[in-house]
Formats: sequence, C-alpha cells, structure tokens
Amino acid sequence: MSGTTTSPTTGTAGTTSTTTTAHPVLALEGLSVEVSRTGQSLLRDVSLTVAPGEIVGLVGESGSGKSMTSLAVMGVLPDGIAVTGGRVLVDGADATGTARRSVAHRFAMIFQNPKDSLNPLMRVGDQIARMVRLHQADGPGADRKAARAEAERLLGRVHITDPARVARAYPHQLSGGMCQRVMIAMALACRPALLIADEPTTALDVTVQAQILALIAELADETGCGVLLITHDLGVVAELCDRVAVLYRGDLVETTGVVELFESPQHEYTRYLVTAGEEAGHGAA
Amino acid sequence: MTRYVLRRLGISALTVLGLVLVVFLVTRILPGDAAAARLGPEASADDIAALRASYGLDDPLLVQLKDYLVRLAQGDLGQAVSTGRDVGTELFARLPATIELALAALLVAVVIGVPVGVLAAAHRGRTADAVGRVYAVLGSSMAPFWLGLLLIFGLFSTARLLPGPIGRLPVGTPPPPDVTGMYVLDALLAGDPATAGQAVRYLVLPALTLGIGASAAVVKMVRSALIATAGTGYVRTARAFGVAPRTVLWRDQMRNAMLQILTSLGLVFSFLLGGNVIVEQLFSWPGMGRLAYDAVRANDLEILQGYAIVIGILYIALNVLIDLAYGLIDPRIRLGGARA
Repeated sequence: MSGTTTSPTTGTAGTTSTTTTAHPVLALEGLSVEVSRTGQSLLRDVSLTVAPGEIVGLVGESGSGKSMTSLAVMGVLPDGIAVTGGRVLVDGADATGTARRSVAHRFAMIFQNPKDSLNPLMRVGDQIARMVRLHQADGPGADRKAARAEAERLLGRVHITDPARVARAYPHQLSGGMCQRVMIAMALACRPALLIADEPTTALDVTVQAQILALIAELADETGCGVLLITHDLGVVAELCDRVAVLYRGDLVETTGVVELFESPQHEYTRYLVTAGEEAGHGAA
Repeated sequence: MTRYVLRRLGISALTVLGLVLVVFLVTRILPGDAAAARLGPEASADDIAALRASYGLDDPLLVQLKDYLVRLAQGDLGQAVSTGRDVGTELFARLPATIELALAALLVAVVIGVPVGVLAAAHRGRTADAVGRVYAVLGSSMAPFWLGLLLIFGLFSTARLLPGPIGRLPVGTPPPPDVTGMYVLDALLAGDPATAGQAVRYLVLPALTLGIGASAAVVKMVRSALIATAGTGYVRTARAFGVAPRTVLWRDQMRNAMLQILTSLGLVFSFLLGGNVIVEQLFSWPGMGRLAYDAVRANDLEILQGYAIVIGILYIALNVLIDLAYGLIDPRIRLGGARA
C-alpha cells in the first residue's frame, strides 16, 4: 500500500538508478477479481509490491489464485473474468483497465510449459526478433537485420552456446529447458521492468530447474528488473526470493521476508505449507 | 521431407488400388446383366450369352479382375454400354468443365467463408459471431437446387444481370482453343478477353449455387479452428508480450489454424467435384456429373464405374497435395523430430 507520494516517472527508459528510489515497478492495491457471470470471487483485496531488482515469490496451492493474479497484472484475463476492485500500479501510475496496452511494454512473462508457449511454426530467432522489433523500435528493432542480430545476442545472454544455430531452430527441435531460455531471451527483448515467471521450472528436469532459476536471479541482478515468481514450490522460494506472499483461496494471508517465512510462519496455512514442504523434502531424501 | 513425400505417395497408390477393387466388386455384385440390358428385352438367350462371352463376363472373377486391372493400367476404362463410346474419352472430355466449376465454387466459398469465419471467431459471442453462425446454418440447410432456382429467378429472369442456365457459353460462340479445357483460362491464354468474360458470366450462377452452400461449411470450420488456437500457449504469450490482437489473429492463430483449414478445404473441394450432379443438371453444365446422371438413367454401369474411379482418384490426388502442403507449412512435419 505504498507509492502514493510523488508523480509517476514516465518513459525514462534505461535510467535504472532513478527507479530504485521512486516507485515499486508493480504495486497491487486491493485487487479483486471475479467471474463476471456468477460473481464467484477469485481474488479478494490482494495488495503486493515488487521493487526494481527484487524477487518476490507468490506461493499457494493450485486454485489459490496465483496465476489469476499474474494474468490480471498482464491484462490478459480469460473471457468472462474481470477485475472488480482495486488498482494495478505500474511505476506508480494507474494501469488498471484501459491503460493496459502501454503497460505491456514494461512487463514480460514466462510460463510453465515453455514449449507450448512458443509458436510452433516460427523459428525461435524470428520469435525473439519480433519482440525486439515491437519493444525496441528506437534501437535494433527499427531494422529487420539488426533485430535478428539482437535476437542472437540475447540467446547468447541466456547462456545458449550456439546462438546462431538455435535461432534457426523451431521449438519442437529444442528441449524444454532450451525453450525456457528462449522465452527468457524473448522477455529480455522487451527490456522489462518486471518479469512475471509463472511456475517457470515446474515442467523441467531438476538439474535444468536449477540452471533456469540461477539464470533468472542473474538477469534480475544485472538488469535491475523486478521479478514476480509464482510457484507452489517452497524450495524454489527459499533459493531465489527476497520476499514471499502467500495466497490461500483468493486471499493474501501473509507477506514476509523469505527467512521469516521459514523461521516464524504467521498464518496457519503458511505453517502448513512449510511443514508439508519439509516432510516432502525428507521423504525425497 | 523426401521420406514423408514417398510415404504419402506409396500410401495413396495403395488407396487407389483399394478403390479400384471396391468399385470392381460392387459393379460385379450388383444385380442386373449388362449384356441383357444392352441387347434389350427381345434378345435371345444365345445372343446374350455370346455378348457375355465377348465381354469376358463368363470368366472367373479373378480372371475378370486381372483383365480389368490390365486394361485400367493402359488407361482403358471400357466402353459405354448405352452408347458404345469409350468411357475414358467421354469422362475426360467433361472433366475440365467440372473442375472449372468446382474451382470457381471453391473461390466463392473461400472469399465468403474465410472473412466471415475470421470475424465470427474474433468477435466470439458477440453480434458478428451470431450473424456468422446464422449464415452458416442457413447456407448449409439450403438445398442447392432450390438456391440455384432462386438465383436463376433473381439474377437472370428478373434482374437480367447474368445469362440463363444454358451451359458454358452463349449459343453460337465457339469455345476457345483447347489447352486445359477450362474456358476462362483457355480464352485468356488465347488472348481473347471477350470470350473469357462471357465464360465468367456463364460460370457465376452455378458457382454461386455450389459455393454458397460450401461457404457455410468454410465459415464453421474457420471459426472453430481459430477458436481452438485462441486458448493455446503461444497465443497467450503473444498477447502477454503486447503483440496487437489483430497481429496475433493473423500471424499466430491463422497460420496455425491453416493446417486444419486446409484439410477441410480439401474435403470441401472433393465435395464440389463429386457432389455437383444436380447443379450441373440444373445449369446444363456439360461436366462429369451430368454424364453420370445420364448414365444412371440409362443403367450404364460402365460409365458409372469409370466415374467412380476418376472421382476417387481425384480425391486421393487432392489429399496427397494437401499432405504435401502440410509439410510446407509445418516444420514439425518437414523436419521431423530432428534436434537442431
């Protein structure tokens, strides 16, 4: 519930130093989401902030409203589901409802199933170059060739060893982990202030999971981009996040630092999550 | 890709063989004696037996099948019992008229069906969608002969905008020099725009009659194919990354939906090739459908058999073309599962 002090900083791309002091890149203020027809409540009064460079975890079981939160932030709620209350602030400016299209330029999102998230009929390099052209029209996106070169550079940035070759591949020729790297490269092409990662490693092998998480942390650090990490996996939270918000059946029951979460969970549901995670951890070991 | 092409060709060769077998068996099993039918009710038993022998109808089925396949391989579809003329010559003389009409009708179906289907899908659940769906129901429930009569009444009898149902060209206009057998194309090739224009005018009414019915099917399948892609991950990605909805619709949804739409267009075209018997009759269109109609009336199994085989081979060839087009559109087929 912060960020009502100064006027919003608009359109100062690249000057990360100013944004660290001004506003959180994302602030949800009492956000509520309902199914329009039945009035069924999916999210109630959810308030949350993400500062530049900060990694915030959003945890909860399936159906708790994690993904609905991210879709509401991105403005891509499914048909028939709508925001009924509260505000979404981007860099301190109200971006609920109609101002949505301009906000897309500040955000990028990666998803649970990286293979399904890429267009099967387009070479991955072209898909990244498309985002470069869309979001960096003043830079390399002004020119088709430059956009392609930028796409290859971004593939290198996400530690793909042979970017030129991978750029020419189609999604079905790449592994899930590679596709997620491609998605992250696509996200970088948007030069986002906020990256929303919705269960980014759930569909991947354990070793690949660790690499992708390390990559996300590295890029958040380097670009100063805030990350909203949606997951049901407390192990991932412990490894990556600065702060955690716990969703339970559409209510945000606890927001706390990651250390406090494990040491002194306040809400009953959080305690349940933590112990369940520990038991699962023992069971696996 | 080469393997894929060879496989498709191999499978279609087998399909053609199966088709020939079925057609052969069906015509042999059907009751009725072609020889008796040809010689008429007054023929003597000896004459019928002699004719049967001369056609090889007394031979064992396998021998008949072998003879039939050998003749077919030489392109010989037999002789029409009712007219004594060569079935292959008769059919192929009429094939271009049928193909010309089917192509024109397909054009009508696509020009109407694709935009209406896209609009309906893009405005799902709203007015444009409702209009599109009503059109689809009306179009597909309207009998072609009835629609054809309405069009003749409205555009020829009343408005005098288009020529009446008397065939492909006005009486007395010589057909253009034969290259493809399709008058519009041949007239253009011969540098005769006046005749080409006439041919188009004569083509419009039957093409509309066939095409409007087919466009209803196109609306339905374009709509459902697009709606199916709307829920996919890559569409969600494109939207979440700020790609304009119109671009998402055409570059992401439409391209992916094309696979399904192409398949359905193939089915529609097959239907237009083989399902136009009534319309050809209505417009005096000298195509294969009319020949088949006359053959049914004359009890001429040889022509019907040839018709079934030619139409069947066209279906199969069309499906091969569509499968090959798939390969061009979809890298998963073109490149297989090979890792890059």
